[in-house]
Amino acid sequence: MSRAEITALQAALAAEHAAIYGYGVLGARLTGREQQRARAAYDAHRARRDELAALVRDRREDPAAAAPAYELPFPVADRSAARRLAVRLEEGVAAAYADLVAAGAGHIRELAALALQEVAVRAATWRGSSVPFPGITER
Amino acid sequence: MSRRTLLAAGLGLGATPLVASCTREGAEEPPAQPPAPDPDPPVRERAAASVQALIFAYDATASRHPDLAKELASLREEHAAHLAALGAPSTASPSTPAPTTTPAAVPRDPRRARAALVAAETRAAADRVRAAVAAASPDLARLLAAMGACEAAHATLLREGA
Repeated sequence: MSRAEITALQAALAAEHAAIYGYGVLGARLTGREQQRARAAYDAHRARRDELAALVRDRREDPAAAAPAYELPFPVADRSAARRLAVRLEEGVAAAYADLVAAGAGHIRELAALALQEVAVRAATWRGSSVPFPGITER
Repeated sequence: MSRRTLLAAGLGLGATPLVASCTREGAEEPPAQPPAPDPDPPVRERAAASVQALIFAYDATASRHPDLAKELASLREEHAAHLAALGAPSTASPSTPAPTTTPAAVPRDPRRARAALVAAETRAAADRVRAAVAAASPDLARLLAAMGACEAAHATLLREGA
């Protein structure tokens, strides 16, 4: 595994930590099916976090740690803001996985491409619409 | 396989060195190893053909089911953006192949027509992952992965719109 791959793995792990924190906050602003969806997303991000941390440890490096708290981009006081934050969190993780696709090769690249798909699906569900290039902001 | 691995495989075990000694008169120089072929042009072309087929399927479906046209339009435009990003000619080009889906081939039942697009998007998303892994250029890999992510999202949106 190259240094660039490990750096990108750590960045994706950091993005997952932030998403986990964010979902923990926004879940409280949702009810019913949407709250269930937030819970499922939270669990999916934790699973990916564990997977990425294991890959970093395999290379005898210390996985990036979660911060004790994260600054939210805007207050999350209602359902609408909760949905917007969910979209924003998924977009942040998407960018990190797109970078990991570029930096990685073989099974790491495959993992990143599949993770990017899962993230884009969630973002589209929260947003109610699609974007042409999930994970790539300059297009 | 990476380009480096291909070259290493080409050299093989016990191969003669690339650069022979120049001290002996009449020493035979081994042939230089050819560079590994760039995998990206065919990867790019296959992806462009696949996206072109999706665009034709969307156009045929919208034509056969005008009620769906509005919902399909924005998704169809994203595929056109993918085609442009791959550097492929636009659908207006005379070199465009014949449509792979005509309105007559679209299922009459709008739910089945929708399901056919979901299946096409899902297949395309899976293909993009393989293509990304096969690509040598990191930027092409990233583009293909983003396209696949968009297609996966399309499948979900189409399902939810049912």
